Amino acid sequence: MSKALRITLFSLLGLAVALGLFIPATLWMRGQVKQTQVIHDSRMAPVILVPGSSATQNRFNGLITTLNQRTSGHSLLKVTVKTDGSMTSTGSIAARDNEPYIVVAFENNKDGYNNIKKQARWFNIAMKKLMATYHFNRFKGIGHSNGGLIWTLFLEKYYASASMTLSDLMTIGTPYNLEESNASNRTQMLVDLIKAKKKLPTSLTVYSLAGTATYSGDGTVPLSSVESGKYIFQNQVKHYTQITVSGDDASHSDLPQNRQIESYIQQYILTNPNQQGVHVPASGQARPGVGSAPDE
Amino acid sequence: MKKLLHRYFHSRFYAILTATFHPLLPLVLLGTYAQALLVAAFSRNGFFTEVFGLKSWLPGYALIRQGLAMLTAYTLGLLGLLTAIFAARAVARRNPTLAMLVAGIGFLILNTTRLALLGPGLGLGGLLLGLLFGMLVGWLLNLARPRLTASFIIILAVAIRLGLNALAVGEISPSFTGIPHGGVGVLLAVMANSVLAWFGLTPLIDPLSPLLTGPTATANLTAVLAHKTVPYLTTLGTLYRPFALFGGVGGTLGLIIAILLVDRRRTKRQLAKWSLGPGLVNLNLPLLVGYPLLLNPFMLIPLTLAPLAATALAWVALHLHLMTAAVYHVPATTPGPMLAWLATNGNWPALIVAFVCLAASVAIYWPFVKMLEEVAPDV
Repeated sequence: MSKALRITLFSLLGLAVALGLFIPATLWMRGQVKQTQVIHDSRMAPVILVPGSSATQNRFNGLITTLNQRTSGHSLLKVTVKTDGSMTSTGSIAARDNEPYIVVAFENNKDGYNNIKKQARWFNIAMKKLMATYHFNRFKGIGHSNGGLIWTLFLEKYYASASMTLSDLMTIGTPYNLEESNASNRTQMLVDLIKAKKKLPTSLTVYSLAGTATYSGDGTVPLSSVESGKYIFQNQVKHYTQITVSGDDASHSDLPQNRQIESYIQQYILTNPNQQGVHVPASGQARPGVGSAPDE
Repeated sequence: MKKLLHRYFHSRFYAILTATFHPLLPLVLLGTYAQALLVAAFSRNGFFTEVFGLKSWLPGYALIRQGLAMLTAYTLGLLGLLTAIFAARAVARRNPTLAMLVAGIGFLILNTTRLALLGPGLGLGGLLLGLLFGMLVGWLLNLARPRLTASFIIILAVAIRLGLNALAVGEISPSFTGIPHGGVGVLLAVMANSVLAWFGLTPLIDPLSPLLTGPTATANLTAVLAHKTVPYLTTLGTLYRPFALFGGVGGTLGLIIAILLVDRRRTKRQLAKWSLGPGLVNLNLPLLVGYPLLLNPFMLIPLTLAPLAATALAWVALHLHLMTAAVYHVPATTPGPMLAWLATNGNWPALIVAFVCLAASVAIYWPFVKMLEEVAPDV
């Protein structure tokens, strides 16, 4: 065998061995890194509820009481954000509870686009504190009425997809076009929300629930205003589902107590309805005044 | 320079060194191959074990593992002792057999303390002390009345051993804390590591120790997983381990390549070829005692310079944001140039920088290999 041939043969063999190591090693590493990432992501993924205008942190008490009768193992923490960004809280997150409810309400809970913008900012402050205190980076969202607007504004303005993941958002009777019943008359808020829609996470699943007491709305919010949400979410988020409920408790302020909506929350929002080994304080609600406030 | 080199290669010390390690070389090669297979393919964190899932499908895995562990233990695990015996033989002129006997027994006495921690160790850890002890024994037996001296040496060894025992009971043991990070700390650690290996001592950062440990590595990994910027760019874990340890301490994969490229001496070429296998999983003992690098004053220069240059190159590339930081955990036995690629989870620039570092170490070893080839031709 000539020297040149030998060298060629050896280099080819070396190359084959190198590739035979390189490719499996790279594939193995990708798997390892993915696994490490999963371990890093928080096990806790709370359901965060934001009430609408004029509502306090107790707005969802009825809803959560009923949900806790149907499911088990979900504790409740309620926080109110003051106008200066400080927070007070009631209730607590039970040990081993990976899916607690956290209600975030605002001291200034007035209606109006300017107030909603402020509330979105306060919500961002509260989320940062909650994530740091309770060590989570994944969560699901429910917003009633203007609460849905606060969520949308938060997503477009403050949400940092690099460090947090909102997988599902359910808005209930949310007036995406405020009180305007004619969809072709877009309010400034709707125009702004549509303008910034590209900021919405593309992995998000959105359910927009509308109530109908009459054929045109839930008595407070026009159906067409709720349906205007499609201009914001459709073709941007992963899934956008519009559901209209009617019958008992379908008027705007009754929606959080609506049986069907409770079922939808249980079905679409809760990942693990019946958690084992979590001791939730009696009657499914945390006693008021118990539990420590998140760090200021 | 050449005159100095010439004098060194014809010095009595070099002759003793060669006479000590040359007969041990086959044993070293066997032991290193067994160790390479053991740590890379037959241990839990080995590169081949992990990547190819060997444990789950290879028949006789446990048995092979046992065999390799024994092979390693009875070769490399006795290297300190054997060094003492052969060094004594190399130094002793009149009574080599007696010198071997005394050095062997004496070294055993010194090394079976209650806490093995305080003894220099029968294995690799005892390489330098074995050499010095053996040389001392050989020299003492060259003096008058060797048989009487032999008894004295053994009695003295027992006395030292009793002292060591007392120390062991007092639990006085050396320890160092904290892995340095930041420019100066990393540079000093890189240099210290090469110098320790050159002396035949256990290096601070063993190429076989887990790649990423300590608070800085954890902080880096956590930051990357949270998609934040890496807080500690200049650490041994981000610069030294993935870029400067190819082939073992000193980046000796570069030396192997340099020998294969320029050295025409048959014995050294053969040594380089044999060292390639263990060198791929970052073990370099055959080169250390065979080339030899150990206590060779001229080779200390590239042994220190090559990893320093590689670390500096990696530092520049990292701080110019040419590549991402190595933060992920990879097996210590990952073939050298692949370390950075895997530890960055497949960053192409990092792979290129790794090859640049390898090329730099080849370039640094090159002139030294050339020089030694001229001064010490094959016998």
